[in-house]
Amino acid sequence: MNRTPRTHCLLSALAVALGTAGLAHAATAEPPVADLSLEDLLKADVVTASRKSQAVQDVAAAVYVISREDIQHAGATSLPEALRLAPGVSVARLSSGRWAVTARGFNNRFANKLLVLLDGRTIYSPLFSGVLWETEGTLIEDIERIEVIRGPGAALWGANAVNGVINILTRKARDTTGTLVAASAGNVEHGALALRHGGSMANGQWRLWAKTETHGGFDNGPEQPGNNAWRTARAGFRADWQLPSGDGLSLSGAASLHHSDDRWATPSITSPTGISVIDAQQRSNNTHLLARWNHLDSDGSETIAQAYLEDGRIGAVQAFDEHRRTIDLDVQRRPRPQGAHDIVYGGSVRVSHDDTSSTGILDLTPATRTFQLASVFVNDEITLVPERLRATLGIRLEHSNRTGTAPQPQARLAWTPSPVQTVWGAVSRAVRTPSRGENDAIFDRQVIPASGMFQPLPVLLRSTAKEGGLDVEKLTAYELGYRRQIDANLAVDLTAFRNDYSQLISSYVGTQQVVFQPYPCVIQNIGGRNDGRGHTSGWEMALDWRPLRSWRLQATYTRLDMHLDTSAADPFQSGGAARDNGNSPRHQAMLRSSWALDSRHDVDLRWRHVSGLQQDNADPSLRIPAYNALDLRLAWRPQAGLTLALTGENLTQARHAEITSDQLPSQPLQVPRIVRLSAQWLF
Amino acid sequence: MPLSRRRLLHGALGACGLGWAPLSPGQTALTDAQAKASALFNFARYIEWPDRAFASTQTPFVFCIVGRDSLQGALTLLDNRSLNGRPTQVKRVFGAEELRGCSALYIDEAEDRRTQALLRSLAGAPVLTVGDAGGFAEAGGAIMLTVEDGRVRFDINRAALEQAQLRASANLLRLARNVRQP
Repeated sequence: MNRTPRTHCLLSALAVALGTAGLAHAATAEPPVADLSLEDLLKADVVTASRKSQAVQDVAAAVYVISREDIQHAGATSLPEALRLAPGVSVARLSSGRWAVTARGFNNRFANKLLVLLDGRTIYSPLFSGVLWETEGTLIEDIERIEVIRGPGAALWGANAVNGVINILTRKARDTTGTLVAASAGNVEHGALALRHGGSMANGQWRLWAKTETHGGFDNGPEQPGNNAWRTARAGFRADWQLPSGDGLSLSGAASLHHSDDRWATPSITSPTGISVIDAQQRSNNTHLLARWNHLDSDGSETIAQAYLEDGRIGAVQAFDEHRRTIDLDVQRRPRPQGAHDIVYGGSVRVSHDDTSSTGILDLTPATRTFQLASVFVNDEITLVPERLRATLGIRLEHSNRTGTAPQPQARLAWTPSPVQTVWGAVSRAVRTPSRGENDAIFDRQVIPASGMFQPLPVLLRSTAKEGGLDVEKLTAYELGYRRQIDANLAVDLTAFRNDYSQLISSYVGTQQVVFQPYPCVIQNIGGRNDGRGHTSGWEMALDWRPLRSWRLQATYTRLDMHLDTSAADPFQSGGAARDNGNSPRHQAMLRSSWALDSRHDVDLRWRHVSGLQQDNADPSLRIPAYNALDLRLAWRPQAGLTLALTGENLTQARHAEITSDQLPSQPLQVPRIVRLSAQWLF
Repeated sequence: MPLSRRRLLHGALGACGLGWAPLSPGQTALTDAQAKASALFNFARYIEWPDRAFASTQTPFVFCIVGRDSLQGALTLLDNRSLNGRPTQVKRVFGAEELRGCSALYIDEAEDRRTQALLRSLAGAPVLTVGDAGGFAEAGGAIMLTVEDGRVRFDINRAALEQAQLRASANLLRLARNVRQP
């Protein structure tokens, strides 16, 4: 290094002026330091909170970003595994492929108060109201980030964004050029293979991908094998163009096939125990095509239009079959901010038509329905004091052909006393529309076997269709949050909330009839109505600390108290407030350590604690003890582009249960130790 | 403002023995926005604009910042200062039609979707473009900067500088992590 003193002086002057000692290193010989390039807790940009790009630090909502690096370091292979990383989210594994995921309570396989979007397309099932996680996914390596908003997002995203919104965003095609081959296998995952290839074209880039995976099932102990093996195949593409006019166009699509086994405990009038066990096979396929267009006016106003078509089929032999076609259109416009106002407005239309057939345990009447949804929204972020105080006022008016018009307003305030500190508060309302299943399904819930002279006939409890339809469930939410970048290496995010629910769907005892064919019994009809209410409260914390450049520690804690009113005349353990009060953990804690030993070796260690569930006081089989899990990932990069990783989950415990499926009574299953070896090659 | 620009520049020049106290390592860390804003100011110091860029010697140097929230809390590092004898100003811009009068244009990653349209409308104008989105230099921006742990690193796209008729000092080029040759 041969420099005149004057050059050196200038260099160091510039280096210091740039606020960096590292810059001087960059110019001289920099010793190799193992760096963790991870997105910081508060610095990531999010789009879900306000339908525009904002830094987490500035958002007046409880937001958490799960970055691509987080997913990699966690060794996650499915969406629910990745979602475990977010505070305030409860993820419980029902079986090898089935999951229950929610935010701020009401967990269940068909947890219905969380809206989930995959690249702007809702994957919330109108039949079940909730996400069938076993059927959803994408190439996990393609995910850029997952934005998790706890609390209502309904003013921007519409119905069902009640307890939270999860937006899964995949990478731009320009970031995935080249070829990726990923393969893995383990004791539960029998094998998975993923391929991706991307390239450039005129004005843009594209990628094609495909993945197939086969998994074994869980059991409930050595003597109680399960029936829940599954396999999935998916393929998809994405193409992004930057047109000469300055407009952006993105086209993506995917097709998937899923097959999984299940074992149901269905009510049976002919069985002495009242239960007959069915080994079921669930099959589904799904195809979608999505187009998104971005336009910028010369004054900087932005218009985004998005449309998608989806055609999906899901069924289980001996139960039901649903064929659904959906078309969805969404347009938003953000005019150039004028003065203190930054407005985003828009509207959307969705038409979803289903054709169902049902045999045996479930009967949907009528067999076909068309669900129509139209909504408009406006959201104004108002700067009250520049760089200090911002208010957000927004409302969405949504009309559905089944539940009428529902206004979903929000008011938020963010105070930024310094660039590294934000205090925010919000009051918002959201609604959940009842699902096709809740409205129209007739199914047998339970058989109470005959018992002597007081009950000479067995009683069959049967859920009836809801004449005229159920109304929406309503939430008013109050939130308060605090974020602080304490120093360059330490950040904290705290949120407290209280949710007041009304019009929750509950059941009541309806009419009775005695039938003699095909088997003598009393049929007790169970109706549904909107008379449940109650509140939940809790707080969530995320802490991000980087004690060394090569070592990062992240801690999250979630506290949740459910106080749903159990006095409503809902007699059923299998539905309603008592179950919901007990089916979300009161405490959840996680500590993650990511350590880059050197530029080739990573060691990731994770400890999770989830407190126990008491899904039903009367039935000890529905009690789930608290569990602790230790997960480990060792990664080695022998050469550029090649990563080998060994992942172990639940290392300290041979097995534990996480939740019991109750709505569709399933086999009790436990999560075993899971070991997995994976290889990823990028070239 | 936890850290004034004066202190920053004192720190910078202090190393050259001009009599100001250097920025000691123990002082309050810069926020990312402050680090980026001070980098932007210093890029401008070590780059030479063609005469046609300014109507007169008193024409202000205008930092145009794209978007409403970019560099929040750090604009005072750029506004109403003196840069190579000119007063500086800051202007928030959103669209191509607002670029008249800009001497430097900063596009934050959060506003990256505007990059193409803005760069295209600048075509050849003597404006220094700085951005922190991953593909900024490939997209035709002149300087792509990143801040990691409060450290600023940057890549220079010489073709973009030449097209804008801007001349970067050899020292600035030497400090860059990468220099894309035309």
